[in-house]
Amino acid sequence: MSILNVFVTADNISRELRLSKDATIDSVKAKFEPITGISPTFQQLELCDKDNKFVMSLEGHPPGTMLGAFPISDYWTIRVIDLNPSSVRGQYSDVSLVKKFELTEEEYEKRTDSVLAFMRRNNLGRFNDAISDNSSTSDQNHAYEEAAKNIKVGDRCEVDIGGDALRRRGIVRFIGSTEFTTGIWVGVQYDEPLGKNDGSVQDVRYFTCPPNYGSFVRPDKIQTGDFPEESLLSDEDM
Amino acid sequence: MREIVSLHIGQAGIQIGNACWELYCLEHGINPDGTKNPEVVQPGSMPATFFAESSNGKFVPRTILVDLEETVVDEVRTGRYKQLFHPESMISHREDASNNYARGHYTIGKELIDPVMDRIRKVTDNCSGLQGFILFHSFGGGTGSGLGALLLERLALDYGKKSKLQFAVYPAPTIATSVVEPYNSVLTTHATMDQADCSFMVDNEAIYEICRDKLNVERPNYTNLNRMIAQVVSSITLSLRFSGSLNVDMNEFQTNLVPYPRIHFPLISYAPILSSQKALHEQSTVNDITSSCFELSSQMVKCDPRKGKYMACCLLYRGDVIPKDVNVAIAHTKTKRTIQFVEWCPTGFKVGINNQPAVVVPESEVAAARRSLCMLSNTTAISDAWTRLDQKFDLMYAKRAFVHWYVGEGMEEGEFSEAREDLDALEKDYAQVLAEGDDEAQEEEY
Repeated sequence: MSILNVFVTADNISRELRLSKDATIDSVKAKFEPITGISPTFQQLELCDKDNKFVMSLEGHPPGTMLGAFPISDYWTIRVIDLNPSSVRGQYSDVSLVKKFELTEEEYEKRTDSVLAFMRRNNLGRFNDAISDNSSTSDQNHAYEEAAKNIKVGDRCEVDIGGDALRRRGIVRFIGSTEFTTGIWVGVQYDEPLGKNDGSVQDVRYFTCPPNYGSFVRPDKIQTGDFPEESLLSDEDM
Repeated sequence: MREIVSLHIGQAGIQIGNACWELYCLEHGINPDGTKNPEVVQPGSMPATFFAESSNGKFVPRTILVDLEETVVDEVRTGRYKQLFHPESMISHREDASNNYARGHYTIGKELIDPVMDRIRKVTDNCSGLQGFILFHSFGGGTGSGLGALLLERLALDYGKKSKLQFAVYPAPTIATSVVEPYNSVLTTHATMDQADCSFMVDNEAIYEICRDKLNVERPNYTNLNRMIAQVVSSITLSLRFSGSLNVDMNEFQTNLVPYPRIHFPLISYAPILSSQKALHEQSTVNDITSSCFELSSQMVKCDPRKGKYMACCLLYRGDVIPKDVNVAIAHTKTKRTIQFVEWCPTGFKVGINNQPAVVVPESEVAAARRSLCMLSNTTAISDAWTRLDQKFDLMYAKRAFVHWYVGEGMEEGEFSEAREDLDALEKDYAQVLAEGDDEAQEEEY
């Protein structure tokens, strides 16, 4: 028994298949049905060579004709053409034809194995109570002002916004109120590009630094003092 | 010894297996008949994780190749490496799965699963400290999807918490391997969601384009694609087969790459991929290959990481690589605006370096590089691939097209909608991860 590697192609379908030269054309068509979705009665087979150039049709031969009766070699192509008059081109590939199925928010909420359920169960992300804060805004702003009294522009500092985020070091570049939201903010230029901007937010500039080195945090997230630049080598696992 | 057992299921699984074992043999200096080549001395080589040594000194792969039909397994039985594999490790059946998940999982698969589990038991009994399994299969084929899922379910029952990694050929964006590929893929993903700890996906179109554009192979065939895949598998398993690298345990992949149990589908990128002619004219510094891995053309699945956020990133360097150069390359990478990490993981780079350079098979079109990098990243962008697949599923399922093929094999129609709902939940899971960072960012930091 001699085996051939052939490409089988149809509308949006292409694959390699190992076929026996002893296989009859009818049995080959039966094998192609679950691949192409075309029933054998509507399949028209064409043989193409290595360069995908048409060689001959595999139709019109007596039943029981074997693949080996044709001049076929390894890595030639058998092209399957759909003769079914009710087939629509792209019927299984043009995704614009059907609306995508989606769970409703409620259905997703109810699932017990989702990422949402996992976060809720393990108090992660927004379910982490340490992050959400419930004191009134004016108290909060007052606390920020108190905290800001100990910070000067030019101080070395370390920022810890809590949660799972890493601590980052840098230099204080700005202290004061901003256009983007209420209260006091401290602008920091980090030693590494771990920030969110270049010293400007929403097109208003507060200081200048390279892109992604700058960031604004609340004064209570900052500690100033002797925080030298960390060497690159110390924070990678080598 | 921490042994790994590789399971190759269906045409894609077995053909990838062929390419992988060929490469493992070359890397460890093992001849095609399993004897050790005394001329090849590889410092740090630990073939015992993947090969058992027989009493007459032959190295026998700790593996099983299973297919529901015979032609692909016969290719191995008569091929160049026919003496390498234990004859009983090659299992085939007379009836194929006709690209039908239900045949692989229920009717035909059921007949084969017990002998397969028995054989796996023989292989694992021969291990002193089994670490886990790597399953190689396609999502689109009937055997790969159906029997692959059945096997993972049975492994979970018999081997409890042992690691189960999956290496899967994922449906390509535009060209399918069969019309029912979306059905098989959705059904198998649903069935294996809770069983597989970490699933590495490759899509044939992405690899086809790498072979065509980077290696100048005019019309790549599966042998070309599988050699490329084997290079990637070799890099990922390198630390298990050679001493002197960082990730020495399979669990470490999971710990590093999988933040939430369901989000376990890392994206693979590989560089450099150079043809033998081009290799002579390129230098490929550590910085070059690191940058290349962040390019779309180096990815094994088509999606756009610039539109998503990274949750984790493992950089597995091999060959002539020193830590200092890696640090510089990473620092350089961090300055790029297009590479965004989720808030809770601002610098999630995990680095592994192994001095064992990549080896290529003699007739390969890929050049052996002095240094190379395989990057595994968990990015929310890969959910594009699920969206694409789900839409194709819906297109057919709206008309119940071909559903009778599955019901005819004893599958309940409800399994289709259940699987599809699970996949939509997966898309929403990725959206959750992406949204989570944004909420915190607005409150805490500008």
